[in-house]
Amino acid sequence: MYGERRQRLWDLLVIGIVMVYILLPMVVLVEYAFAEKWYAYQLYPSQWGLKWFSWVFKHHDTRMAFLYSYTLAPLVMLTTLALCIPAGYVLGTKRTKLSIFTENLVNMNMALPVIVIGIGLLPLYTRLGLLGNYWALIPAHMIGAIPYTLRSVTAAFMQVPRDLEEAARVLGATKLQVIRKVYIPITWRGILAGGIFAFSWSLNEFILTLLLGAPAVKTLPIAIYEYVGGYYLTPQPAAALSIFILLPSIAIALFFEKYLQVSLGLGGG
Amino acid sequence: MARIVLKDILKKYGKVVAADIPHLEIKDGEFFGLLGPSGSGKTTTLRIIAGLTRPDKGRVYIGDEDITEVPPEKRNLGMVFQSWALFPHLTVFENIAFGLRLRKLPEDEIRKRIKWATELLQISELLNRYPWQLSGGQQQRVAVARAIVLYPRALLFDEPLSNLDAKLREQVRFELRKLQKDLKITSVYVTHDQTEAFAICDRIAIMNQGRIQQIGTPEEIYSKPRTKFVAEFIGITRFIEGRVDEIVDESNGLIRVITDDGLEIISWGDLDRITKGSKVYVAVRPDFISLVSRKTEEPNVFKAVVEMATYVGDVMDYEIRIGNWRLRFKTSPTHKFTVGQEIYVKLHKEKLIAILA
Amino acid sequence: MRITRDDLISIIFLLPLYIFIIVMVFIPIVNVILGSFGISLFGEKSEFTLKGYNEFLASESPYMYSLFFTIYISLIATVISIVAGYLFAIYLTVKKPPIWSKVSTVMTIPLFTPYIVGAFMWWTLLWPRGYISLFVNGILMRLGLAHEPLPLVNDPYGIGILFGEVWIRFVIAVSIFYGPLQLINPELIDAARSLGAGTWTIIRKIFIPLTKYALIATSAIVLLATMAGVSIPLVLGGSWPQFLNVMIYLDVTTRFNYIMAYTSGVFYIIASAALGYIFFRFTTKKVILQTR
Repeated sequence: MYGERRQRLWDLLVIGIVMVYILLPMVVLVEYAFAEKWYAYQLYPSQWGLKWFSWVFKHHDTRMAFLYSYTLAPLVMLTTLALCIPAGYVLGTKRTKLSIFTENLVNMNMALPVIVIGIGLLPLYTRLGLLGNYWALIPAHMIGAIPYTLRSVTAAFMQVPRDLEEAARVLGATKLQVIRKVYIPITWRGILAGGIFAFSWSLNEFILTLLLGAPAVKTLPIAIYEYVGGYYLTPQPAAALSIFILLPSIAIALFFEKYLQVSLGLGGG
Repeated sequence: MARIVLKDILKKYGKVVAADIPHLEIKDGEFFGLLGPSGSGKTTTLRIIAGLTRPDKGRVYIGDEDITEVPPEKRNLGMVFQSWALFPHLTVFENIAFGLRLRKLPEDEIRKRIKWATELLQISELLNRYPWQLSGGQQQRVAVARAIVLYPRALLFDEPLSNLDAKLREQVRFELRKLQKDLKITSVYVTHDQTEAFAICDRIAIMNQGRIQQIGTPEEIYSKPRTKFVAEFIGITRFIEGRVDEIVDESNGLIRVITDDGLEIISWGDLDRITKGSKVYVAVRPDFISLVSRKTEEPNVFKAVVEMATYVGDVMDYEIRIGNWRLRFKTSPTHKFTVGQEIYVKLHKEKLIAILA
Repeated sequence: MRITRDDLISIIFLLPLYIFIIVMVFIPIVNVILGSFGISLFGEKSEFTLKGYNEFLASESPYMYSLFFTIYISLIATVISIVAGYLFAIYLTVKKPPIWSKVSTVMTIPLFTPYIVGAFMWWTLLWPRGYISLFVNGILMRLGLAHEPLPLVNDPYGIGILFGEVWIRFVIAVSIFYGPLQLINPELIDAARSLGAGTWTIIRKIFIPLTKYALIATSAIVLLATMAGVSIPLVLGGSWPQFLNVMIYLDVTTRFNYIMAYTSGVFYIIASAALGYIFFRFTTKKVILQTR
């Protein structure tokens, strides 16, 4: 409280330390990604360049990882929304005992470690011959996405005033018109946010893909893990790969902050 | 002992001057009011005294001690807030004991002091309740009790009655004044409510845009406002603009003012500041005007047209026009005029106040 | 009880969700619980046995050790993140630094960073050639506290895991605490100061009591997330001791010791049920906050 100028200096110090703490790992990641030559006795790379980015694109495995990651994410987004929009409509507009029970049930799933669900799914997938099946990863990715998406969609439907639908019907609007004129304008933000949650979750999903998809289907997080998991001791390609998954994440974070005013943790296990 | 002095205080938020007070002295044992519209700097001034806001420049003294550098928790000033700021997780007893416990007083001393304060404020039976179980009036009393148990050097009030309903507010005003007189404790009271300040305070400072416009007793401020702002802020005031034509009566401070549209008005004016030829505003309040039956040759009697009439319970409230000037005027309901009717009114020359423009 | 048209719509609309939960969550959980007793729903051999639990609970069992290691490291990470996050959120609430609004977006980045990338980023800082490793070891060796470089990642003490976890959990803690703290009437803090309370007294006597449910609930969810997350211990952990979830992963992928994976899974289910209960218990509890 004392000394306006001194206070601003304290602010700068405290927030500066936190910012450095948050950003340092990312700065170093970028350094690794662009380092072409970096000898062990040097603190900085002696040569900068895009070598590792082209290296990443030359490899079949990593090219496929891009393809898998960025096709799975929109698919998961669509399937999750297809499941969550009708459910969210019920949970948001009809606050019955069933709705509350369903909400609690879904929230309880959130508390369960994904790896436990993963090892439980393993025999089921084995039996059905779905191990390493690209399409079978979609429901696996949905497990973690549903609680977030459903919550966002439910909140969106809660904003629809209860009497608005009735008023529109009384005024002679058809069911389709009610959806177009009442529900969509009010709920689209929440539904979009829910969809992006699912997208982001799928992009970041790691352990279920590792258990159920790899080695046949390797997404970007798996590819990164393989580079750092002890097969090679060269972090540069993993850094270059990480950039491709970190950038969209940051873009999504900024988008949320700016346009949707919501934020939630989505690490992906 | 506990007079409060502010010297050369300046506080800015960006480019906005929140408080600019060259000198302010609040006397020992005085109930002092800081009155002004919102954003006038009255709360900033109070917070500077409390230490919750640090001035960019200037010194704050209590008694003879310079407390500018003393943090608020060491100033020993009791403060009552607008929201009363009772700690929601503590009972009334623990709320009042909060400051005493921090001072590590023995338990029996704490009980003694709380008994004294709660009996004084008649809240002894509330000690085990939580703040949300209390009415607004009760919460306000607890907040006062919490401030006075510390035997503070001064009490600071930040609009403590603004969250009460009108009826209760009136009652609490007199209680607060009585309490302050009994305890003889220097108090500073911030409010935007003129009647509240007038009812409670010994002296009042009128503030606007961070600066003190006038300091004085309620009577002085009401009858002798020094600036147009003060005159406008206190009571229902309308102005007639004109130029001083002649000083009529030097000993009584009477001057003749002539307006652009040719009205001649005899008014009181502060001759220390007003001279012949000064541009002035003549402040007119409803009680400066009285009804006369017909036009006479007496000065200050004018023909007026009724522009608007409102019936408000015990009085009739009129808006009348004299020449180009619209004034407010009140009568008893027995005098009923219709809109457009012509009447004759007299402006009392010794009550009218000419203020230098 | 009659089923109305509304009920029917509810049931039809919720049905896909329920089918999904049954197939993708409920069956796997039953599978894990039965599997820990040797009973397989889908496999060929199926025979009731307590072998898994006997081995898990045996003295000098690596699984018990791993469980304690998981809890121990997760507790430390939780305490650090909660305390640091809480204090930082209070700093933001009380001081209202003007620059915060310009940089607050940065705080959301870790929330959207994939854990595997977050873990890898810290690995690049902590491996023997990483900046933090060079810096810390430089100081330790100059002070004579260490004779050879201390491993800060893939180490037996869980230091690497702590670095990675705290980075993410700290941000989560700040973002959870920030909201409830804004609801506290700022005049309460002024009142406490004018009554003689300094900064630490205000934190102890005003902030903590007013936000204790948020503190407990957040601690529970952060502890749960730390114990459950696989990526960070997998990348930053050492060869031994390991987090229990890494043990599970290795049991199913390299050791093919399914019964032990399932048994460990049951312990995870118990832990998450307990912590999840605390979380929901305290988030639904009425929190008394005086709002403006």
